[in-house]
Amino acid sequence: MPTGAEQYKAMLGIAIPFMVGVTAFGSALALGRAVSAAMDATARQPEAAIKILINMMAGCVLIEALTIYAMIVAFSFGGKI
Amino acid sequence: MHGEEVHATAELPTLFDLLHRGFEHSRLVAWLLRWQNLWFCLLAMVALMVVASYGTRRKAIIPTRTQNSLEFIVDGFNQFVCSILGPRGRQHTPFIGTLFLYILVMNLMGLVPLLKSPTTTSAPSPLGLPVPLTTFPLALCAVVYVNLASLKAAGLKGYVYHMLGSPTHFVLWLVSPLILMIHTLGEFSKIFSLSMRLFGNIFGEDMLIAVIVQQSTILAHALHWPPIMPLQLPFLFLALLTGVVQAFVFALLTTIYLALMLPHEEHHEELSVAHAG
Repeated sequence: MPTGAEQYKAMLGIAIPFMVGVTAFGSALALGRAVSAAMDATARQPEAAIKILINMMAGCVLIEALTIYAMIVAFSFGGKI
Repeated sequence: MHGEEVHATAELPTLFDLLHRGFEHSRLVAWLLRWQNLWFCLLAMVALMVVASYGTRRKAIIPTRTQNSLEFIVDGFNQFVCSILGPRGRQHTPFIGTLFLYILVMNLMGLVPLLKSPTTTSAPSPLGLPVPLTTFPLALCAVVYVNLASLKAAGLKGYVYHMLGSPTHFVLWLVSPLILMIHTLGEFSKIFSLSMRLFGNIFGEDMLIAVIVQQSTILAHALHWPPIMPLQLPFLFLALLTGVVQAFVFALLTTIYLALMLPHEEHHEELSVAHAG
């Protein structure tokens, strides 16, 4: 069995990529719903396409920010391995 | 290039890195390298000021060239802010527009070969998460400005009343301390989310480019030909998009926080219409 220090690194090595993967999965689902709603709205009213695009961008950035937090945690804790 | 270690957090060399490698023992160059993010911030500021002063030199009624494009940018941004805040948004356009342009220039500086974008600087903190050294003061400025503008517009009583959740019913007065805590925590989380979103996006993009440059130099050295492979080119376009979108979203969120915190003005318009009619 590995010692204390190696155990901690091994756990980090499993947990950090898993965390980033799960966060990316949730974010991809949410972004898919947002973009799909924007596509439906644009199909209904093509002349409002740019306004819908701007609102969709704003929503996507807010959703993506949570994945970015996970990436920051991954970089800061991955540096400790 | 060949003797360097491969880090997970690679960075492209900047002008001051190259100067430091050229003049190893100069204390002036070491000092310049230590404060390089400050110099890049100043460069962004000076560039914006030079362009603005050049464009407003003649102040013609019918603008041409630089003045025309600057007026296009300013008027477009003013329309955008006033579409969210209403006509009283005109007094807040300078601050929000400056935020947008400054963050935009800083983000795009990371794509120029010898420069580095100051929004990517961070210092490790004992809590584990890195503290972004440039975006945290920007977010602090934005949130403090929003609170001060709301204080000025609504007065101290109106501001505290808003922070307590605008209680009208007796039950709302009972839960108002809880709502006060939630609003205060909300302000801090606005600072955190604004700074971390901008920092994470730009830092991630720049580090992606740096890692790809590193890998492509290793690949070029292994393959012996071609000597230079600019494999990071598609990611430069992605970083361009991310830089513009993140600057826009920072300004958009500040405008939305202003719209939420400022007192609602619809009653004044109704009153003036009633008096006129």
